[in-house]
Amino acid sequence: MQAEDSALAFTASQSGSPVKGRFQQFQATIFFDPDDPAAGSLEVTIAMASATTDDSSRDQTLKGPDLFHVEEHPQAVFKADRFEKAEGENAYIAPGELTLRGVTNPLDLPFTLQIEGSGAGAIARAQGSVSIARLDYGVGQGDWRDTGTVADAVEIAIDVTAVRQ
Amino acid sequence: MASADPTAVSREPDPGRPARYDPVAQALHWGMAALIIGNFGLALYMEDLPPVPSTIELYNLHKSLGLAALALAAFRLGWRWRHPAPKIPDDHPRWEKTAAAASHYLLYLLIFLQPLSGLMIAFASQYPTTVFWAVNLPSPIDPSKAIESAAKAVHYWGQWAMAGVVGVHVLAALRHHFVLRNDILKRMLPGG
Repeated sequence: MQAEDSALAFTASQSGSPVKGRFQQFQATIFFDPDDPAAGSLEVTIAMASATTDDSSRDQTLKGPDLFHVEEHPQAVFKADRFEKAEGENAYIAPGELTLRGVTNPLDLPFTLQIEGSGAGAIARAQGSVSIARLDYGVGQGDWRDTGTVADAVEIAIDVTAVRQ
Repeated sequence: MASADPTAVSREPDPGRPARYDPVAQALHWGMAALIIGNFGLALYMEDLPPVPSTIELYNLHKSLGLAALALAAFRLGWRWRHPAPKIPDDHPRWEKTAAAASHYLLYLLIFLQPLSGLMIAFASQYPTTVFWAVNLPSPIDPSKAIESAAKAVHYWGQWAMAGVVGVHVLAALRHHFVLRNDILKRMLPGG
């Protein structure tokens, strides 16, 4: 994975307005063969403490015990042990599991894949987005269980560029 | 009370200058006093609360009340322009007239400066502003930490300037009423 060309963003909704954030550190290992997607696999490891929403006091709250609780759960992991072809050109699904704040739930990540070149050095760019319910993962304890101000649904967007090894 | 020309001397009652504040001016004065003191109290209270959703809602309430104060301030300035304030009686010493004029100009400045600096914080910050649980205020500018912290400094010092001038204003009114026993305060009271 090319870190400098890759982004992992999330968009929460506060009072109906989008609040955008991103993880500045994450790693992805991808095995993918367009001719045999079922043989592929994907593992993304996210450093939760690298989350930022461009506001230091909000970031501090986000990483605190009631939300990400990064001290106890420093990493989130998305794992898929196969890919499926989806409808549409270059469209696939990674049926996997997301472990976030110590809670694991199944999550299907749809994405599109563009491959440039072939053989070693070929560049693949995967883009996709999926909506998760933060409370399914316990992101929101105590007062943060309330979804009237900050909604339960959080959009996650990936844009990963990888070079074939 | 503030006069456009606090040094003017006139023995005759000025036909263009009433003896008392009109009911609309009184309603604006007391309504804004309650609003501003209430919003100041809310600000002091919410500052130390933990960052939870209910605190966000209190911040939104503070911003909404500030916008209401700004709207009232604009209306009040227009009203004052069309309806001049009563003149300070000529038997008041010159320093009192000057002090009254200065503090009233300052108060008018501050009732605009406080909501406007608060609005700038809202515009420049990363947080959405929901006005009275109804609509989110669009920001005409991109988030900017520089503008946000400058506006925060103005808003912070503005609140204490406001508290100081309002304190002087209240003490002066009480002095007129209870010590000097004149009608200065009564001009701003319904029924007088």
